[in-house]
Amino acid sequence: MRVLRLLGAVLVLGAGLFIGARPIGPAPALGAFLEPAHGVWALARAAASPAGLDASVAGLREPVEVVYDDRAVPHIFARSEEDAYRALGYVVARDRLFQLYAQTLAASGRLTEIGGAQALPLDREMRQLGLTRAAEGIAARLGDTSVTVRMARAYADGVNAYIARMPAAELPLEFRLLGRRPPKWEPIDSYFLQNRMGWTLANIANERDRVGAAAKVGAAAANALFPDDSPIVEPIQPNGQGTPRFDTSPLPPPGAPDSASMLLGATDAWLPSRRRARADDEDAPWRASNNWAVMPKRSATGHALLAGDPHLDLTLPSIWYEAHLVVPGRLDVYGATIPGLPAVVLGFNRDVAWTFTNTGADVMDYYVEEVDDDRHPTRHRVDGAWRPIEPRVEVYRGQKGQTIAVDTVYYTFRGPMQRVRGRWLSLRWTVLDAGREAAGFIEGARARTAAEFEDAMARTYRAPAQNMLAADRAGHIAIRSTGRYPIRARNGSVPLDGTSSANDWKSDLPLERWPQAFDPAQGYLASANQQPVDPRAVDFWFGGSYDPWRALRINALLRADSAVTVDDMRRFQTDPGSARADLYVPYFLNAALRVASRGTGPNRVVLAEAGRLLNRWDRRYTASNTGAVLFESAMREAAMETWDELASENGARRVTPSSAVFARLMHDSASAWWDDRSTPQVEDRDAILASSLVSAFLATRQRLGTPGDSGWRWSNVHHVNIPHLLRIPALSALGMPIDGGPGTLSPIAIGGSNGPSWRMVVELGPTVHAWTTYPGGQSGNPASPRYKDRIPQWLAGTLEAVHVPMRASELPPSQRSGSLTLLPGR
Amino acid sequence: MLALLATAIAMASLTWLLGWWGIVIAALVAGTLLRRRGAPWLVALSAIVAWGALLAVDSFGGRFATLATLIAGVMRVPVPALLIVTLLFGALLAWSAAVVGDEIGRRVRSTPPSA
Repeated sequence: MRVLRLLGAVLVLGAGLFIGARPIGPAPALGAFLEPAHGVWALARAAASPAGLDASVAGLREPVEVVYDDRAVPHIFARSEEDAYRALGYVVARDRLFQLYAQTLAASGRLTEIGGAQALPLDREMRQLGLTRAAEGIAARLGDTSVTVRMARAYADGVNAYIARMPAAELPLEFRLLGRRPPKWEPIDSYFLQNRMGWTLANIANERDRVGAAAKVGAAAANALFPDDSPIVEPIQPNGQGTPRFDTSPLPPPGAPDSASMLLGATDAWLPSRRRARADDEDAPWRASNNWAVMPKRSATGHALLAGDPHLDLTLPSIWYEAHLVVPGRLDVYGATIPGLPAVVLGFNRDVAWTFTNTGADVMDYYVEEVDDDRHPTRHRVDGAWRPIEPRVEVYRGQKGQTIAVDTVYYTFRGPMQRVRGRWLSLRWTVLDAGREAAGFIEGARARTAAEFEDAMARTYRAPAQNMLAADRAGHIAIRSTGRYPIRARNGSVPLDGTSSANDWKSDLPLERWPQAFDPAQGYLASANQQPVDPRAVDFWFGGSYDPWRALRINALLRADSAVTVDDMRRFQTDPGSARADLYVPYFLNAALRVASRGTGPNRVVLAEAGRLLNRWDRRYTASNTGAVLFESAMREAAMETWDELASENGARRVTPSSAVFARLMHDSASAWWDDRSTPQVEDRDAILASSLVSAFLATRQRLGTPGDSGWRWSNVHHVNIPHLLRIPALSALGMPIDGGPGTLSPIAIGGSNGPSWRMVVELGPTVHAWTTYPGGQSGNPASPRYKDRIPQWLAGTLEAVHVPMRASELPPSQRSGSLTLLPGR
Repeated sequence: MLALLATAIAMASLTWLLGWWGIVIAALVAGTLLRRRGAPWLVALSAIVAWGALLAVDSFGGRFATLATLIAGVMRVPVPALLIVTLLFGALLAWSAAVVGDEIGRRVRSTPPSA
């Protein structure tokens, strides 16, 4: 009996030690995970802000005081800028350590190290685009004394100081689940992240859509469906018209397929993730960012006002982290930093506030190359002479460090190459040449006027090009589409012949020709990813893809309000009105009346009912609204029926013209595009719109029940989803109802997980006042009350007043939630 | 009772110092030293008390319930199951180590001094 008991105990002990020490499948090793002193349960103790802690940081020259306010925002008081950015690295690591790690893996094409082979396509995209090589180039190119390098090193010191002293209890949950420890942070990790922003915001190349359409309907039609210039223009740089201009000229009819475009359409191979996104999301302009500023003459208080809300993929933790850095006499900047970047990207100082939207210019060109060896190219021909090709071996590692794939990526002097349908294409992209962007943020933070800020950014910032809006305490406002715009021999709307240097970029557009405006006569400036400059006013091809609807809406709101208040600025950010709906609804209503009067066509009773419902709709996308769902369904049906020429044999569509191009088509009621090729009769605009309305009504009734009832609430079909970085549902915030829709200033896109990632309003009076929020919270610890505490106010469209103390002592105890003293250490 | 408390304190202290191995070491030693019937079960109970006390310390910040719900959600198990697994894991390790310790103790004690 004793022997049996002993044998049983040995077996239990052996099994316990085994599962305690080794992960089994996706489950972490249970010993360290469950143990209550340092394991996952200890995270409950780590959820609070630090209270009076001291910590040493290598490289720190003098002590730095960090005070956390009641919104968990760290206010960093240092005596040098490098110390301030060291401290920023420390506090960001304390709150967002796993995010730093995950973002670096994503940006450097190493997600396979936690995701295995499943993540290989994403990693390949990063590396085959040359983004990792470019980051290494920044590190090699910038000297030790450059601001970018010095601050990146200081930031790395801070991150690594936290990692070195991190109590076991503070090891983030995600590291525990993955069975990993945080690696040392390297300055190059900041450059990876910088390039990742370029990938997110500057991979707009209309040629992909255009050649895809040309392969179906010919080049002339494709050029009109995916135009260089938006059919609706109310540019960022005011053109003096005071109203939008609509292109009402007829679209060329669909033509014969362009066989040459068949090959070139394969440029999609470069960006598989974008191809997937387009297939999922027909109306790409749902992606959005806004900013606007009003001069004192149009504000109720007589002070300049500025508002900004950049739209990005929403995640928990958020892409943004709020912080305040003070170096007396040198720096006093408050705003949103991206964990991993040694800079406040969007924010304000005591004199100037700034915020960005994406410019969306086409800064990515493809070249068809002639190579010496199709399988293993070593040279490519340019102007009759061979030029070398540089191979670079990319190794992808799995979760246990094993090699799971090896690629060779070839580089011409233009950039990386890919073999696509039997041809080698190379890529030229401004993002691959950038590198000093962080220096722009660091220098811009010291600006004393809006013009100084714009000039500081213009000196160093190249990619991704941004519409940088600034306002200052003297009442000046300014906007400039800052970035690098290559001057081409011909526009980059189609892939170019790489054997001729005549097709290479010649130089960059000089600063004076960038879209820009300072203190405009209209008294305000607004950008919402629309075309930055009126194409009639310039002779330069910016290319790109632009969305006019939000610009129309914000311009209309600002024009109508000559005494704008801070609350107006906040309200505009979540305004549920839509210029898109205002334009289209009358067309649907008129079509319903006309088709009904013809006595033919779709079910007249249903058409009348659908028309009545649509007519009652106030064209607002509030969560409780019961009209938006019918309109959006009708718009989708109309686009599907109209653009049937772009569908492949199996009915799938690779590209869809924008709703602005659709608006242009509205003016031509008998265009050949209206005809539904699957029916024997020839349809016109009204027939298609009426039948779309009927189809939408029937489908919506079937799906959501009695028309107009609560089942038709916009919130039943429109949600926001904020997934955790590892897409773990328990750590995410999913299925939340929210106002906003297509064409509104606050749309939610891409499966509900792309939207306003940060909202800020700043009043630049004698003292600066600001209000902010973002969808998440300061802490990356899911157990922390600060993990997603800001989401309710973000959903409601409210903002919180921020504290901007000049000294630590200015923040009273009632407004403090923690403190930390960083001391010089080894 | 005293033995249970002393063992639990030793286990909690060693867990704090060494991590989860602490409970195995403490149980081995306790199993060797405790010369009473059912000692391994007492050691297992001590482990539950020790880790339970440490969990109680974790809960002082007021975020324990939130954390438990999150982890249970991630692991896709009910919250009580997660707590039971935590305590049971420690108890099983302690019981089995105590039985082994008990056997070691017997052998040591039964070995003639001259050998």
